[in-house]
Amino acid sequence: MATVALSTGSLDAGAPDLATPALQLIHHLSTGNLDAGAPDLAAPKMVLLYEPWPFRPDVGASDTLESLTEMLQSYTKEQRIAQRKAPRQNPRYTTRLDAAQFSRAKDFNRRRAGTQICVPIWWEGVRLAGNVSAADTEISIDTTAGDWRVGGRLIVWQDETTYALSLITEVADDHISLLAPIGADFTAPTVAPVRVARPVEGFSISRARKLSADVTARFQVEDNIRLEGDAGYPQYLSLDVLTEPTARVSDISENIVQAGIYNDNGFGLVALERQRNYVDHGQSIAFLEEGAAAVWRRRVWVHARNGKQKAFWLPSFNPDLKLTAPIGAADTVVTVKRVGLLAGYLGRTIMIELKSGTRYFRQITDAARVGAEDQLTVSSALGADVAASQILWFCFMSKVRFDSDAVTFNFVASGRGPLVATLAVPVTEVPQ
Amino acid sequence: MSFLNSLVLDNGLSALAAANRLHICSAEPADYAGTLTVSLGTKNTPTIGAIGARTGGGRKVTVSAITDGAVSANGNASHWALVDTVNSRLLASRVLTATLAVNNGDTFTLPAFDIGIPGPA
Repeated sequence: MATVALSTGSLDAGAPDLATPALQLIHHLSTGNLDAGAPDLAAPKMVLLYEPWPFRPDVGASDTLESLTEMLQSYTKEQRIAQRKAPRQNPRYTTRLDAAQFSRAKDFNRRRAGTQICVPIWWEGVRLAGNVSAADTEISIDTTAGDWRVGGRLIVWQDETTYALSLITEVADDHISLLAPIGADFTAPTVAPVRVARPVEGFSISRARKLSADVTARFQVEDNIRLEGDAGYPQYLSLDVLTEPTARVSDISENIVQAGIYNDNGFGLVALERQRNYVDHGQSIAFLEEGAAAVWRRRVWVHARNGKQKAFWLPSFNPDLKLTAPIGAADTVVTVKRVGLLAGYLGRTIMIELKSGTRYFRQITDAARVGAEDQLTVSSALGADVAASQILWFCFMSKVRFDSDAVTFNFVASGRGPLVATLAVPVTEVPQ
Repeated sequence: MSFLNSLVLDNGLSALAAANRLHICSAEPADYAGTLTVSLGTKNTPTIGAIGARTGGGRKVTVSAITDGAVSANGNASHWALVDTVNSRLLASRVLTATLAVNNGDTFTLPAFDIGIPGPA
């Protein structure tokens, strides 16, 4: 059998034929919208000039400053925490109105009882000798004895139908600038600062008289601030020393009591559980202030008391001690007529006020009996010779605080005469 | 929210020259009739200043300070509105900085404020 060898040739396809297409680019362009920004409308701050109570009090006016003090009392000390940044001001006005005024007042009362209104602070107002013109934006007045505030309000008042309110933009000692022209002409008006307040008790009306009615309202001020300033009192151990004897404008009384619980079962002895290791010495002080500057000074001082919080030194203004030998400039021992037990002197503070006005404040650090007299050692020498004949007051001082958070200024004559204010405040001694 | 009439947007700030009354309102008004409904007080013929450059770009007008606006109703004022009473149009409106209770008989004041249209960013 023969073997046949077969072979196959390669079967090759031709070279691939791939086309070469032309590349064509197309540019698609777009434009963004051209937008202006969102309209920009301002949100201005509105300030209101509330409708004022335009009737000037001519029968009675008072102003109560109300602080709020939290008292934490222990057996030996007390801590006092002021709860308000500024006392609340509460002017109270009584106005005598004729028939037409009364009708207007009742309309006001019905609309505004409980709403915010503007209340002129009349005792801080200034009666101008000249006129105010409609175009005036500046009024020349003495602003040093009143609560004039930038951003606050004032009233230019001629009578209860002729007045204008304005906002204050600048306060200088001798003038005030207004936000805009006052807008009306006034003849010898009164210019007074204005507070925003509410007649929280409404208006009470007395028609006891035939031809007139008395309308009374208490206004609780809302834009209260703490008045800053220095009443100018000398200080001892960083506390003011009250240097005026109390004015006799009210009952001047003192009481000394021991705080405690008196256990009385009705048929045996009454037992006392003392609550404090010191006695409560309550006193009343009073002031009679004449003139706007004096009233303003007292207001600043009352603000600085911060209700019951801030203590001050109160001389007794009683000749407690009688000097029996001259005091040398370098002496620290003072000889006096005997007053009581030696222990009663220790730790007490004294004031020596000379007829010349010079005052010395010292603390008694030791006491000794010498014959019929007592020799007191004071904390430091006076630095000047003092004879008994030079002395006006040689008395003890008490460290006291207000015993009330409410202090009321009563304006005896709040009308057109000189400004006169009285106030009486209970005080109590605090442990040293 | 704020409102600016299409007329102002179409014609520019010069359209605000027609504003002849400013209202304080208890709510944001949507139109002229709504403005009258929520109005608590008015200031007639407020002064609208000339058109000028706006800080940050664009243009603005300034409404001059108002010192003697009259409150005519009780309520809480929260918005202002500029209107054209001749054509009964609300032109612009926006919120006030703070809402304040007002009563008939009060006077309101406003500081000068701007109405502006910024330029493109």
